[in-house]
Amino acid sequence: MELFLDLLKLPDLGMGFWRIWERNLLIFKANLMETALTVVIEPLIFYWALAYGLGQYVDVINGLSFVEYLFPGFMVLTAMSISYAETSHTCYLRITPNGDYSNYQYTPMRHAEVALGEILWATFKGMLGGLSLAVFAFQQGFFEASHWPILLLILTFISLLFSSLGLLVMTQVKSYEAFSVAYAVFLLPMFLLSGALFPLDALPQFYSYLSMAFPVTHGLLMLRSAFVEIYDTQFYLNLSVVVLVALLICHIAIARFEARFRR
Amino acid sequence: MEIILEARNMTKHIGNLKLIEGLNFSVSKNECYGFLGSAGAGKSTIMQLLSGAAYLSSGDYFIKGLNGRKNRREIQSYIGVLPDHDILDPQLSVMDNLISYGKFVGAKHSDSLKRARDLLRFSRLDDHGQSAPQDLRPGLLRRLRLCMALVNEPEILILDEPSKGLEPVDKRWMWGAIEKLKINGMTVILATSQMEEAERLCDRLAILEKGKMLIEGMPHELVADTVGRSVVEFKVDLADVEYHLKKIKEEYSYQVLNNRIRLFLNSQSETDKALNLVTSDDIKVRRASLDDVFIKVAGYDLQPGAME
Repeated sequence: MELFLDLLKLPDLGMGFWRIWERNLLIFKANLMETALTVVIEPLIFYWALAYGLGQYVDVINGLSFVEYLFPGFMVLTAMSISYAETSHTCYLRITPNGDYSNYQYTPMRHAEVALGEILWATFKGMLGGLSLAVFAFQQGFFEASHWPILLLILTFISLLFSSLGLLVMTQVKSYEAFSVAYAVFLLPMFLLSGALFPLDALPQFYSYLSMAFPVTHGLLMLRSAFVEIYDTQFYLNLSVVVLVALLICHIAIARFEARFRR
Repeated sequence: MEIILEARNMTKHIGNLKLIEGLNFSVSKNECYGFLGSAGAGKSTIMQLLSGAAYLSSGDYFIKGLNGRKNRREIQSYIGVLPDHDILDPQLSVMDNLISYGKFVGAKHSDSLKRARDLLRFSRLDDHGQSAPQDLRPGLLRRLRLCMALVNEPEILILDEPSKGLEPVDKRWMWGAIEKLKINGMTVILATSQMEEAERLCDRLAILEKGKMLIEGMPHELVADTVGRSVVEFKVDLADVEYHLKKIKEEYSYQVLNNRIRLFLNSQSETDKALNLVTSDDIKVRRASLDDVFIKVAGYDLQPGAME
């Protein structure tokens, strides 16, 4: 009941979220080399190894080479993983008794502003990871310059969705180990069964239906559709699913964050 | 004197656990008001409540006429807090910690930067601006935490055990800094478990035990009213305690701490009379202190059954 009532309230928001974003940017700058390695270089290495290594043994998929087929899925999965990890594990470490989250409680910052600041920061970081692949793919000629706006839109909402989901999970877990369970339940099925790495046609029909329950599948379908310039009803339906689910989870995550930190 | 803070029936429960109960007190502008007690007495809970980091279960408090329940944000712009735990970001340098915290309290970047530089000068941390907080020795780290509390140029400073665990030289620096801030017009609310700190800094103080206020007043008045002017303390054999007590029981206020007996006396003639009555190889006569008050009203460090 309390959970439901929390969700009905509008978050108590000012511009404080921007200060959290700025603070995270300071940390980002202070650890630029390490962060660049994990956010930008690591996804590129993974992509290169999979696409060009494994890709040599894979024939054409849906009329595309494996390298081209893999790119949109890998980009979306990269944005998903980075944004989720940033708000789940990283934020969890900030709530330990002597963690960073204790300091803003003595300032006029609101809990909702901190939650939104973290979500937006993780969204930015997720987008950065996805963009590193997008820039590489663009240079290789995998998509046209006119596709950039839709690519950015999808990256934004996928990153927003998973940074919100990460924060929501963080507000619910009781121990660090619980993240493994959350990963196995939420992320791993999406990673493997969203059609990002291989088409689901070869699997039983059930898996295709299941994949439609994953928001990341809708983002991916939308991106693949945009790359061949098909903007049909299905495209807008997929767009609606991604945007609405992202905003809904963001709202729930902020409400649960407020509830968790209100003492 | 203008009242800057007023607490009415402040109560905090977590489940069935009563952390503080029915506290009433007021603090005047430019006063240093202290809460004295051991761990678990409720000091930190009061500091957390007044600083807006925790919420009251019942009761109210008003800071500058604003109700703490309804005006948390406004109140937090008037106060600076040095909590009993570390609030520094280990991933940021000393300077960036101050700048970032300055922005949290609503300052612009340029103002935060200027304020950070001023505070580093004030705390003599100028040379440590680019260091990581964890590289500072404990005394300097505590100075930095004091600086964090001063970032928004607060009118009220809430200090939870500001010198606990510090080396004597760092303690003296901290106490000197707090006195300087008070001279400059700041109101200070202090939680402490150290008699010396309470005696040196507090204009008035409250002794707490299990979330309740046992006694409140100016330190010297508390000493005079509760235990008197001087203390005669003497050691006896544990087996002879009852024998010695029989001689003094009727005439003096006293305490027994294992094999030590303390007599609380109000005048020189009373002290002289008591000294004639006491027989021991180890007799000390000293001025009564806050320590005596604390032990008398709270009685914690007495062995079970030792106090009469």
